[in-house]
Amino acid sequence: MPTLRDIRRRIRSVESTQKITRAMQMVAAAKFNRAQADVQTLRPFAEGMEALLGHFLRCGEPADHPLLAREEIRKRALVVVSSDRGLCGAYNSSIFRAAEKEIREAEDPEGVGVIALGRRVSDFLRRRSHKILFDFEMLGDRLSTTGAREIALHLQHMYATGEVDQVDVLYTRFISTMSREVVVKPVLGIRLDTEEAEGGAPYILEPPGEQLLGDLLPRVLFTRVVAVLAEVFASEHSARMTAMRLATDNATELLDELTLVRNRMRQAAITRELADIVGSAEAMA
Amino acid sequence: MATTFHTRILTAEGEIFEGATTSLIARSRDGYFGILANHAPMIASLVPGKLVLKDGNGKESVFCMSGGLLEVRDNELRILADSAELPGDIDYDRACRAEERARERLGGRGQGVDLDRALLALLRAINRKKTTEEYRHV
Repeated sequence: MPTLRDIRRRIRSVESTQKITRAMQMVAAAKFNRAQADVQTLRPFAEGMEALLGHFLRCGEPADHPLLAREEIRKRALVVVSSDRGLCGAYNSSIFRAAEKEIREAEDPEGVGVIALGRRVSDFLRRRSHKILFDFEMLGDRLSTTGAREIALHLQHMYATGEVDQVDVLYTRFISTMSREVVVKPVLGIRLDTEEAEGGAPYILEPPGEQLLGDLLPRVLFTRVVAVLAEVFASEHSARMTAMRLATDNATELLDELTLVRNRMRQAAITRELADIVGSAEAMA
Repeated sequence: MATTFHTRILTAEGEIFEGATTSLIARSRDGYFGILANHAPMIASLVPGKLVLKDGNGKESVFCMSGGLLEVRDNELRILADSAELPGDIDYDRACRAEERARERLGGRGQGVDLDRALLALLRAINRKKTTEEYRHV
């Protein structure tokens, strides 16, 4: 049976926890606003890049480049993106679950190597002793084009040297503050669809064919990476915002209950003391 | 026939320019080239250089570009730039330091120096310096 003092202590501790979760909720909200703005500024750039690639591919220029899709895929890299920090609800665990499923259900699970992006996922994969091809460890908490460029360059190098024959990214797509979705998106290799070649506008290519492809493909890769990261940050911060709001609400509920108990106990103590006084007064009379 | 075309200059960090344009000059591997309204569909790769465009009122704007891709069709021109800055926004001292660093790396050779990257960095730095010097007093 908790004493009145225990209940009071409990209330104080719940109150201070609530202060923390409320502060974290506000910080996450501020970071989320920035992340959402980043998603929006990036969108026209990313759409423009994919459109340009599509137009180029439709020109049907026969060209060869180390970043193009390969016939035989022996090694597949799965870039798994999580956050560096926790306290964001099911955000990270749903990524882990999806990653394990993706590897288990792959045609050749042995041929899948994981590239970890974000501290949570590298910790998780290491515990599960999955084969990690590369570990970027830290992800940070806001979009940086320099960081995205580094990641893109690394993936490009791994692909061009033949270390991997395909690169997919598993990440959380941002839909709205209330909904997110874990998806797998291919980023390399890029397929030259000569099927669609007919009917495309006759573009002037400067420089022609292969050289232009060499300038284009690394930029397509960079754009895909930076677009994924923008969504990842928006997802992470919105997940943390929701998780912290729930925690704050729970604390309020708990405080209401505890306050009720405390008041009842205090009233009981007063009644008991009063009964004692009245009892002893009667005995003296 | 239209006399202007719509131009958008975008980078991963945001939109740099958007509006009606009568002419645009940019730099490809083969040198500077110009684009007027009703240009044939084209995809071009840009190298570090300046970009000059004239808007509908004849006002000229200059940007310092570090490479990118340009696409034009149906009087819509879009540039996806690696970076695009106004000459006034360039950090001149930083460009000088970047140039020195790139020259050192190119001179040093060996030790896993990525020559392509160093060379590109050098070109970008020189371009930033040149554009600033040219437009400093404008």
